[in-house]
Amino acid sequence: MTPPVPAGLTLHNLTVRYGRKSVISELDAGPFPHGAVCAVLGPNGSGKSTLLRATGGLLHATGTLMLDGVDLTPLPRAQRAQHCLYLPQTLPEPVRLSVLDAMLAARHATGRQGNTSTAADIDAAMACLADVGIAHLATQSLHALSGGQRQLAGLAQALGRKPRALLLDEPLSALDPYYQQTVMALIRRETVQRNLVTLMVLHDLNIALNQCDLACLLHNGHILAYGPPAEVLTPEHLRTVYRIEARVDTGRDGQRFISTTGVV
Amino acid sequence: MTHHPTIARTYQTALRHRSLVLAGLLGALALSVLLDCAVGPAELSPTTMLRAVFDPAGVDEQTSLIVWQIRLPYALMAACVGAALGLAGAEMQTILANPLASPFTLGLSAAGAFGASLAIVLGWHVAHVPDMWLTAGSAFVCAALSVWILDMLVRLRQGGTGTVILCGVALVFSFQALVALMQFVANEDALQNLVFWTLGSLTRATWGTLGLLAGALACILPFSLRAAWPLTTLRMGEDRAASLGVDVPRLRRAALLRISLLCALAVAFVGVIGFIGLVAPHIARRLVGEDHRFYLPASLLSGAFILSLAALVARVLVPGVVVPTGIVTALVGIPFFLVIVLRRGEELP
Repeated sequence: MTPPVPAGLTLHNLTVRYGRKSVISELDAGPFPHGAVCAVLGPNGSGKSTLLRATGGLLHATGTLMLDGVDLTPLPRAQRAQHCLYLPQTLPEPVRLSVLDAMLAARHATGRQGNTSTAADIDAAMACLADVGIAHLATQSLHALSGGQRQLAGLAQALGRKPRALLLDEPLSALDPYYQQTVMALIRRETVQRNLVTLMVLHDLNIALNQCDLACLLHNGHILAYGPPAEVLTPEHLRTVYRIEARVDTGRDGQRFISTTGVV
Repeated sequence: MTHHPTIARTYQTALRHRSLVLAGLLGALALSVLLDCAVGPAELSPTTMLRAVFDPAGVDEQTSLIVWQIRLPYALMAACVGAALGLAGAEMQTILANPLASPFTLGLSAAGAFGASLAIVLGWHVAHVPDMWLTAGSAFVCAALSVWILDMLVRLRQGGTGTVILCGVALVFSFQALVALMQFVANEDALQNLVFWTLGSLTRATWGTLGLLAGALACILPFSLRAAWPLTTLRMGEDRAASLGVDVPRLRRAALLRISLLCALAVAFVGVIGFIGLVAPHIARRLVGEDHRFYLPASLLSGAFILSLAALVARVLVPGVVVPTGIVTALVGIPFFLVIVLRRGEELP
């Protein structure tokens, strides 16, 4: 049942250096399919952010990056962001800018898109805001919003650019449990509806285990395991990568959870 | 899909409101320039003023001379320098992501003052070139050079906004020390000339310098406005702008080039005038928010308006004497600056 064109995102021979030190060397990853949320896991310093930033074109990297059979590496940054959009870990700054202004700015950041009218731009922006559930905040200023609301505004900005791949750098880390669940549910829904390739860096292993379709475990700049979360997040892998003793239990409703019992 | 006609309408109203604010600022500026022309030792009524401007043949020669040779260049120079510093300050605060950044934070004025001091103290003379242009030219070259040095340092370290500010502060101190050195070795005449220059004064304005500055402003403004969207994105964070496809280093370099041209010209012609570049962006932010399509022009107009007012105050403060404008702007600027800093506690800028 393999498709004729290699669909999804594939990384080949990716090398990223900071100065002389290579953080990631000759890494192959993927294919990451459309319509699935893939958790990128690994301890601090394992190269998760670097991998995503290099894929999004924010860091210089050598190697190839194929999205649906097309190599994105030679494209200039502005064009690359149209296909494959990275969302930084930091929330949008709390500045005096209405959510709608922020949406329009994100839309026109690399030059006006097509010859759409302002009214059409506003409609499109409002549709995105409605998708993430903050249409009622459109005229509010970013500096008056909570962190969770700003994260949603940032996601709406990204979705408004209509990318085919979305790279999220710890989208849940600055949020309280309510917004963690809200944002996670939203990412899952939009990934399916818009048929996106979604990669997200996560630190919460239980969210990765239960709410992601795939997991990719990084260890010292290499991929140790990639596949369904239940097969990736095993006690052996956790011991190797995170240096923790952990147990995976299954609850009555089929939900799995990881309990840490100590460090190695 | 739900439609939100009311929100779209509210947004359109907000856009119209911001345009009205810009128009209001423009009106206020026109009024203050007019007032600036009308006030002075020789009392001129506004109608005489307008007649002299639009129909010079219709008024007596002396009035025409006062208006065209003294009052108009002075008043318009104040507006132009204010506009240049306001625009430069607005762009600078955005690209450095720092509400305390101003054209003077990065050592532009100090460098300009050093350039002027070189020309004044060393008594440079070139045949057929007025000394004033030589001083201005030297100030311009040094101010532009300081931006170039700054850019080199930052590129060398590949640093972010923190590096830019630190390097700027280093440049400020270096150039101030050099100016002090020049003052130390200067003779009495040159020293007086130099002190007058570093205080900032609009009285040296001529149609030539005015034309050059206004021309530069007219050439640079379209480029600033073209960068309005990416600059707005940059306000939400450098990473975020980069992730949306903005080439941040290039955007920052282009802005630095515009800033250096505007500041170097302003400093070269009127000397050191502080606080306009710091205060105008804050006023603009309060008035129209941070959508740079409105924020940039609003800061330009605010800068022009404040300096125009300061120029007016400078002339009426001590009857018969034109107090150096740099002194007045600093005196007006400091209380304003404190208000902004103290207000930061209640809401972020």
